[in-house]
Amino acid sequence: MVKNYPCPNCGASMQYDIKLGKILCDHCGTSIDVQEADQLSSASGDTGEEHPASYTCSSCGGVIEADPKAVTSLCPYCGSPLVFTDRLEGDMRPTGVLPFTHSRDDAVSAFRKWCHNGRFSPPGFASAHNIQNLKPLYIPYWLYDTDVRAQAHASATRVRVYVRGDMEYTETDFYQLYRSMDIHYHDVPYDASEKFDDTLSSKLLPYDFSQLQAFRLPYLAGFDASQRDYTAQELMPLIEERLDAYSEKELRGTMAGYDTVTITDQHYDYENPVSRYVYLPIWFISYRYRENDYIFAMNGQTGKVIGKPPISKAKIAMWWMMLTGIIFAVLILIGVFI
Amino acid sequence: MRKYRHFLRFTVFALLAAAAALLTVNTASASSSASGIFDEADLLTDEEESKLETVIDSYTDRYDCDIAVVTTSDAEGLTAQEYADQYAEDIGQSMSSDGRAGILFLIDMDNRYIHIATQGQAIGYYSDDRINSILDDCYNKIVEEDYYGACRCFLKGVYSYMGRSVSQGARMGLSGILIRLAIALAAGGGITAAMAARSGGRVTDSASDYTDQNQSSLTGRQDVFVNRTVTHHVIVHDDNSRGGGGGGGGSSHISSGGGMHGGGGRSF
Ligand SMILES: [Zn+2]
Ligand SMILES: [Zn+2]
Repeated sequence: MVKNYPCPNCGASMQYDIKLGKILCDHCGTSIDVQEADQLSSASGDTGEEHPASYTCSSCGGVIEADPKAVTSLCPYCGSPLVFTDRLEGDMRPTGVLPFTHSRDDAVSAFRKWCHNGRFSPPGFASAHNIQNLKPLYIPYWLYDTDVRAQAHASATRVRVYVRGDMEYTETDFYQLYRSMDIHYHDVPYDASEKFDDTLSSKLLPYDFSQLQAFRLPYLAGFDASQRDYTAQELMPLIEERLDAYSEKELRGTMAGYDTVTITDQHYDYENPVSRYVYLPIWFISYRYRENDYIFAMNGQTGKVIGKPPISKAKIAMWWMMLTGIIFAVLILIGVFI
Repeated sequence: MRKYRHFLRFTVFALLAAAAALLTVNTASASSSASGIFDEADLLTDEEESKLETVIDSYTDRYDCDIAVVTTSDAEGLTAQEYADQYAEDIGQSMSSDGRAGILFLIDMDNRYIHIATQGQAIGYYSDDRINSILDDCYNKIVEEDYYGACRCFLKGVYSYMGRSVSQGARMGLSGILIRLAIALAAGGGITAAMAARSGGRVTDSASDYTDQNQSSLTGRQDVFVNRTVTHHVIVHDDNSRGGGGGGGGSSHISSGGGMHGGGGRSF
C-alpha cells in the first residue's frame, strides 16, 4: 500500500521539514504535526499482493517501479513523496526514529567545507549539479540493551628501581589479579543495512538517543529509506564482540596501580539482551572517480562528517608547483639580501 | 627555409658578438698584474691555465679584487707563509689592511705546503673558519696530486666569500640554489599534502556512551602477591667532557716586507 500526505488546505503533497520538525506544504506553507499527518494521509493501490514490485501513486495514479527494499520513493510523475506502508509492517516496522536536525543547507555547507570547494577535487565534484545528489537517508539500526557479567584473570607486575653505591637494583613484584563486574549497556547501535559499510557507519557514531521519537510513517515523507537486511539475532555475535572489547576496557580500568597488566583469561556472559529497531538520519553522497567510489556522509543529528574527497593529481601537481615556486623565490631573496 | 637561414645568420652574428664582448672583457681585466697564474713549478697544463685564467679574470672584475694562483718548487728558504706574503707584495697586491682586496693561493712543492694569503679588505672577508673550509677542499685535491682541482676549489672559495662579511654567510652557489629548490619542493609538497589530507573520519563513540554507570558495579576483586625478583647491575659512569676551541675572525700578521696579511695554510 502507498501513502502520501496531501495538504488539508490546498491538496498538494506535503513532506517532513527538518527545521520545523513538522509536516509542511511547500505549496501554500501550511504545516501540521507528524501525529496529525499520520491520520490525514490518503492511501491507494492495495493490489492484494504480499510484496508487490510496483505501486500505484496515491496522488496521481501513476505506476511506480520500486527498489526491492525501498520503503519510500518520489513519484516520478507528480513528485509526491510516497511511503510504501506494506513494507513497514510487522517486524519491519521500526519502533523509533531519530529525526534530522541538520537541514539540506547545513549539509551542503558542510560538504563544501569538507572538500574546500573542490580545491583538490576533480572538476565538477563540488559543482551545484553534483551537490544535488546529496540525499537525506534513514539507515536501519538495531539498538541493544544488555547486562553483561564480565570476569578476568590477569598477571601484573610492579617494578621499583633503586641505587645502592655503584649498584642499580631492579625489584619486580608479581601479582595475580581477578575482577568481576556487572555492566549494563544501553542503546548500543549496530547498522542493520547490508549496503551501508559497517566501518563507515561506526564512524558516524555517536547519536544522542534521548531525542529518539516513536516511529510514525510521515517522518519518512521526502526521505530515502530502506528495509533492514539483518535481524537482531543475526547481528548479536558482532554486538557481543564489540561489547567484549568495551568490557575488557572497563575491567582494565579497575586494575590501576601496576606497571604491567596482562590479561590471561576473560569471560563475558550476556543476560537479558533487548533490541529495538530504529531509523537513524544521515546525509549521503557518493561519487565515482577513476574506478573508485568516494563518499561524503554526515550524521543528520550531530553534523559529524566522514569520508575522503576524491583528489585530482593534476590539481595536486598544480598546487605543489605553485607553492614550491613561491617558497623558492622567497628563499633565494633571503639568500641574496643576507 | 628562408626563415631558417635568417635564423642561422642571426645566431652566427650573436655568437660573434658574444665572443668579441668576452675578448674585450678579457683584455681589459688581464691588464692587472696583481692577478693571474704564476705556475713556476709547472704543475698545470696550458689548457688548465687558460681555463683558470678565464675564471680569475671574471672574478677580478666582478668582485673588484686581485686573485693570484702561485706554484713553486723552490721557496728560497722561506716558509710557505713568508713566500706567499712576499709574492703578493711583489706582484702588487695591497699591503695595508684597508687597501684593495687581494687573495693569493700558493702551492709550495718545496715545503709541501698550501697557503692562502689574504691582503687588504680580503683579510676581513676571510675568517680562519672560511680559510680552513677552503683549505679542507684544496687539501683533498692536493693529496691526490690534482693541482688543477685544488685551484678550482680555491676559486670556489673566492666566489663564495669575496666581498662578503662574516655575518653575511657564503655566496649562493649552484649547490645553494639546489638546496633551496629541494627545500622549496619539500615544503611545497608538505603544505600541499597537509592541505589535501583530510581525516576520513574516526570512531569517536566509546564504551562510556553506552555504559549505564548506575547499573554497573564491581562485584569481585582480588590482588594476590605471588613473588618478588631482584636483579642488579653495576653502574658505569660516563663522564668524558670535551673542551671546545673558540673561533674568531680572520687573524693577521705583518710580513718582513711591512705588509699586512691574513690567511692560513696546511702541509700535505
Ligand atoms: Zn498546501
Ligand atoms: Zn504521482
